Amino acid sequence: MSEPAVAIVGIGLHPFGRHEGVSGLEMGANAVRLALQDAGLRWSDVQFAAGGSSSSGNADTMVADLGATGLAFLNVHNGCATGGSALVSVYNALASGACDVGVVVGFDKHPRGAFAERPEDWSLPAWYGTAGLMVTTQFFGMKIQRYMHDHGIEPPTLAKVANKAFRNGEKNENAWRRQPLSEDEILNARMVSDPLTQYMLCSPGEGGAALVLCRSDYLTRIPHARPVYLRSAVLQTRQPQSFDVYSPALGMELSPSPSVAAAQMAFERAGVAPSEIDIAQVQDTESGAELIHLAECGLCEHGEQAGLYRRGATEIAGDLPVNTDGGCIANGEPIGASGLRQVYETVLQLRGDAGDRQVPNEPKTGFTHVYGAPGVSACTVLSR
Amino acid sequence: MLLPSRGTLWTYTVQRFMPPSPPYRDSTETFTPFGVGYVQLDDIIRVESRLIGDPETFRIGMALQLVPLLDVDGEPIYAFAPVHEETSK
Repeated sequence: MSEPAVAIVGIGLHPFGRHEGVSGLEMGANAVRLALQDAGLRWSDVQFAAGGSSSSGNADTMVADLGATGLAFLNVHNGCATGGSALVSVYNALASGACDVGVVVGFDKHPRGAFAERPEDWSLPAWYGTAGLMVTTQFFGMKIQRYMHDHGIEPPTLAKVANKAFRNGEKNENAWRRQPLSEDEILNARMVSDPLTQYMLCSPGEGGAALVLCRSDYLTRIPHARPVYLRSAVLQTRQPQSFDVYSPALGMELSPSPSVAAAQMAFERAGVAPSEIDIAQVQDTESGAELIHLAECGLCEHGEQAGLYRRGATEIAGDLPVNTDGGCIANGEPIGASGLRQVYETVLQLRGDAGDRQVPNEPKTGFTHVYGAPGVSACTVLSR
Repeated sequence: MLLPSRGTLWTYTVQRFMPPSPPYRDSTETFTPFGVGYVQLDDIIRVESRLIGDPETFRIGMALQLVPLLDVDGEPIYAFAPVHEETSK
């Protein structure tokens, strides 16, 4: 491993769930305060911030709450990769030497139910919406349906993913859904988008997450910090003929998902191989997405998943613990905050601070991955 | 290019809840679940489409043919239906 340029020195999370009377921006600002406190730094130490939400306001207006220090503050609006994109921006600013201390923040406050989107905002014709095709869950149902057909995966494996998520969520005081459910309860629940039942899908929710980062050569100025190094942060979008959310037609030779390219670049730039990863947080919009993304990111082989879950390899005490905080399924998905929650959890685990859900044997390396419409992925590699 | 009007089901799901409205236009009183899939037309392309027919009978690889479908405003959109339903009528 080469000498990493950027360290995460503070993490903050506003609990995920439902918070009546608290705005998305307030949750984001709370997360920033917690992250600064964790780092032992002040808001006035921050030279550059980046962050955003999908539908809950402009991140830079939280200076009214945190202090109008005149810092550079970049608003990010990049769907499921909002947090990941903000993190890439701050990582690059720090790695280039443009500044010493940066903050990343993501938050959201979504109403109940599926995301309502306008086709014209996604470069799609109006008929796509009136025909009833503008629904993200349809994509996830269709992608895992084909994947199960091609790779011999059966619905009980989907239930195992959700069962693990709720058990991990039970051990996470910041998670939304903390009630364990049996595999039978998950399999026999109301079908939402075949083959996915109600409990296999995450729900839009509320929450905030923030990170304080600094250049590694700044660490001497904060001797009490407990750094975890951000070895890479990469963002990629889709290629022609890929099978992504909101695709009216597919080519015969499908390009790999943007997750494949983002993960490969993240591992290459970090100088870390997928086999060296001790803990992983991957986008689990639903159970099937966790299975597919593990393989797309190079953490297992396509078709290997049923065996991995049967022998408990992705459990907290397994060979490759996955979504140790309960993932999107137990935490819900406040879009802007979701990717940063993964990094928060990874830092907590690498510090050894994850309490009841701590991965044993002092994990040294972590990987995070988000994926979303209309074909965007952001990945990071972290290490102690 | 003129695309074939018959194809095979490449993948599918069933939309069991009413899609967010707008952009979808229906009411919870009249909504009924519908199939959605990608239909492979020869070895040319896979098109996303509404599916007509009993969702319980959908299977990857089944033969489908193009059928007209009107949206709630009476505007023509297209759909695919199992070939055997057509021939049994």
